[in-house]
Amino acid sequence: MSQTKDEDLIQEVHLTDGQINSLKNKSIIVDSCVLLYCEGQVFKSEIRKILRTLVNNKNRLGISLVSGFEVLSNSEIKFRKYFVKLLNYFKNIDVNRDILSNGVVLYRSYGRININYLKSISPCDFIIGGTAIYLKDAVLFTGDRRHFPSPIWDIVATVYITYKSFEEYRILNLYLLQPNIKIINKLANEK
Amino acid sequence: MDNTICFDELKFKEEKLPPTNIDQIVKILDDKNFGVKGGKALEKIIERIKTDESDKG
Repeated sequence: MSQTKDEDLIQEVHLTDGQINSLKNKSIIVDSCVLLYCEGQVFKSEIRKILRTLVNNKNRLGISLVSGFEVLSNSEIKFRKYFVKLLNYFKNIDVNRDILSNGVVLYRSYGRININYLKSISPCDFIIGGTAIYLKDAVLFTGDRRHFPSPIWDIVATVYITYKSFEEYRILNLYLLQPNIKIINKLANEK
Repeated sequence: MDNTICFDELKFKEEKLPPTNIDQIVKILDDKNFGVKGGKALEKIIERIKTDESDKG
């Protein structure tokens, strides 16, 4: 197998800001996957721009402690010291009984969409989602739309990072999502 | 504090997060030793992204 050159992987990156400037004065819960993308320098520099824009617009950033667990257990060992420092500059939100309750309600509402689909979702995602619900008017920043789907999560803004890899253009979608409380309650309480 | 878990309703708290020290976050992200430029490690990250993308429901 031939060795892959760096330049073969990612050659160009364009950041397209989709309504991100419209977000102001929000609490933003940053999902684990967004932090893990920072292991790639090319994504790291784009995510840095997004975080800067969000904070310049007076948004405030936090993470669930569960994300701390996910990041530290999934990242490369050599980068753990950076992640520990990074995680601690976000407000760490403890997992309390109200957040766990929200996670359970969320789990039930997902189950109404497709019971089989539940098997592919980590319990951590329900706790992270439960945290975004718990902090009123909070927004979840994630790259994982499958685990935070419509109609339970509404898109507030989308950011596209276009990159070129193996001569092919690809897109990394990042989303700012808000829980649809009405729908969650309706689905979770359906008999 | 009530010592029971209620599974039937969503719970909310009116709380704003404290201001974020973005300069410190940017400083860590700007560290040249943090993150891979390319090679197999980056390929792994791209694979993970591709999995997320293809997983979309």
